[in-house]
Amino acid sequence: MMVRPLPWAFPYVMERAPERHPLGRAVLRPIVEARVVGPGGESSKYAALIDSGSDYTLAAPIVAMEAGIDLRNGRPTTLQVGGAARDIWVVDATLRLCDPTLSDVDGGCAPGNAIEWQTEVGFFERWHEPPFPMILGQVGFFDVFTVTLSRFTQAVLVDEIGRLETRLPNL
Amino acid sequence: MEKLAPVALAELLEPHAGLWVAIKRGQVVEVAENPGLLSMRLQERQIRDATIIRAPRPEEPELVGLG
Repeated sequence: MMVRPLPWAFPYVMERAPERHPLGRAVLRPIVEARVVGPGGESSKYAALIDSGSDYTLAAPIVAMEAGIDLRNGRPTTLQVGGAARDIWVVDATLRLCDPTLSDVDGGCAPGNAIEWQTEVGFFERWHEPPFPMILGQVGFFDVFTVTLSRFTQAVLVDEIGRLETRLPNL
Repeated sequence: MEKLAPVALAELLEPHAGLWVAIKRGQVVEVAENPGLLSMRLQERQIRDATIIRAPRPEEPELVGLG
């Protein structure tokens, strides 16, 4: 199987239905499916929130454990996340973005049909009840792809990194 | 411009509020209190390619940012 060429369109995920929302509207999130690949193999497939406001790509410690990534080899730093200071270990890792058209296919997020890239990932030392197990931020995702988020279309479009240049007006 | 239909996880997640959920082919296939336990159970049952996500509690304030 070949990796399908970009762009890939990911429908938003409805996390909360309108009838459960105090303002009567759906909670729609830009969520994709991704894995981390390390010396121990590939992690489970996790729902990853695309977060343009995060400078880091982040993941829960279980993700590093599954991929056999030794966080002691990482660079420690502290971030303000969710209103609290949290320690992370930044390591170089391989991320894998799963093709949304193969979401329900066995083997649908494998090296031959998904996009992999090397980047830095910050793994939380402790992260109890994280709202999302992975967060795709500016470094690690937005510097690898051209990402278009549209609440109106209810979709994320992930395209080649140079694609935006063709849409920019002459400045 | 056409809207895409969102992936409707709300109904699937609602019965498992506060838990970690594994979803495959639009069905919940396993649930656990934390992602490590969920991953272990999936391995034991040889379930591959499920997607893991946390189901928010109804009383949880809505997440609007991580900062």
